[in-house]
Amino acid sequence: MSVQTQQDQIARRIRALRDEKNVTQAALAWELGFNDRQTLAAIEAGERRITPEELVRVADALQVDVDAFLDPFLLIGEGAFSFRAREVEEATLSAFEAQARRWIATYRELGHQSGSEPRRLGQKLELYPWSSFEDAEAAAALLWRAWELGEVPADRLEEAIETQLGALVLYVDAAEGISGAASQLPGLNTILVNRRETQGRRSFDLAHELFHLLTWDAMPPKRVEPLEVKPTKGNRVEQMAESFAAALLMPAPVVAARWEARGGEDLPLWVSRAAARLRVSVPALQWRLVNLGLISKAQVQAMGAAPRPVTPGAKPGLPLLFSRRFVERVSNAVEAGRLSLRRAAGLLGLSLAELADLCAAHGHPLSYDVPG
Amino acid sequence: MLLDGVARKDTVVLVDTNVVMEAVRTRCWNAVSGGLCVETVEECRDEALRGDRGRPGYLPVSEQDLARIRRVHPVTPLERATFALAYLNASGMDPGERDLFAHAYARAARGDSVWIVCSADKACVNAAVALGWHERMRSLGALAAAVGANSDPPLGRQFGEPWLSEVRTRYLLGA
Repeated sequence: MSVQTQQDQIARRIRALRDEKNVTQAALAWELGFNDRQTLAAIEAGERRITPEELVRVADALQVDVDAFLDPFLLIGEGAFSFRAREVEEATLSAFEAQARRWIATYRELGHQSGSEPRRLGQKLELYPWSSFEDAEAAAALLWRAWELGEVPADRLEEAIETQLGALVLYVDAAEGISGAASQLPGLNTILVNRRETQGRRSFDLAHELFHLLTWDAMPPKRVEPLEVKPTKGNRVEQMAESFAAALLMPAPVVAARWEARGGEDLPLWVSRAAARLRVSVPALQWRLVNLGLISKAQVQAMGAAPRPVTPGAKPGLPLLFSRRFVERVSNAVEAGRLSLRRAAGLLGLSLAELADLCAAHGHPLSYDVPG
Repeated sequence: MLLDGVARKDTVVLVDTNVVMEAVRTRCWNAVSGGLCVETVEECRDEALRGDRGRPGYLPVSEQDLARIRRVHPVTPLERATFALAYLNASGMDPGERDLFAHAYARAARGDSVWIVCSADKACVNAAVALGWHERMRSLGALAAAVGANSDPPLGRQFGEPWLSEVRTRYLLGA
């Protein structure tokens, strides 16, 4: 971090925290004992270097810790979140958001330190609140082709989001009821997926949150969106997101080709196998087949309680925490001495041993001896 | 002698959380804290007490262990701010490490030069080199050797003098 970068960060955060607490520049200047507003204005413009004494006085006046201005591993006054959650108390969501902010800020700051530029050129879908569900499906079909997601889009989606969109995908341990989240930050969009969800749910979360990232400006999602999207008037955007996700993970040509190849195979068995291969849930595929006119609602209802076979071809196990790119960035910073081992563990919410194990599991072992 | 021209008993040894925990784990803590003028900051003391309790086989640091530290310094917001504005990568250190260095920075600012720092993290060695304190860094292995203490089980690699020497040299060379 350069002196100017630090001053700019301090300036931004004084403005943000002052706004958050509804304190005018004149009032804060007076409280700090400045003779006029201009001194504070110059600090807030990043034109005058703040002294340690002034910084402590600003922190006292705004009733925050000095770290609120100094710590680049925090997101203050920036970043919007939308969570997919069911029956989760606000305190739980807030705690998760605070931790998510730490992860995202860590990735961004370590990127700055290593010279990685934030992604300034974004992509968006030409979809609006008045667009139809068919429009959302058509947009998904276009994206499927443009990103070359292939026969099993869920297998390639994470990589495509990272490379095509420059977004960060993190698999995390979230409190029960929090399935996923999307976060928009200038230059760095993030999708968080609760890695303890089923494989089908994880795939859908990824596609659903991708929709929000690609339509955020036109259709900003609510802070909390429901897990199960009911076809009601008030949640049209969420229904569009579900249509988009279904069409992206189960493209019409892919489903049609599999349907053609089904032959005489028993329908419930075929649906279970195809869903496992596509890494989506059985109900998701059933309703996609209905939407594509390949089966009827009555057939879905008839299949409802049918036993599911073991699903060969499914990717087994729990995804590793975070992502390879994220852990690589952390590991590189620790090895370069830009981030201490204990600090890295604290930022990620892990013990030292857990951090060492995670880095090794992602193929970036640390050179420290950490007792296991 | 730990510092040129200063008697060992007069040299303040500032230790961080990792050092306290490793010294207790390897059973050289009593000898090191008894034979040297060991000091730390409140955050490091609290971190050491919290420890890594979920780890199998973890040997906790007790209140009695920490009572052997000669002085535990509070660190003020002004000392933290002064250090963070002077050393721009201070946020890369954990709160205990950062406070220990902020305390050392305040000591240096008031002309106190009879102290050394004992840490086993690259970020701390990096900071020490950037601040011109590389001659003030000592490994736990060197401290144990100075008081004739044995470590059992052996110290982790980063607590030994060869590791410190290698890392310090790398940062001095700008690598």
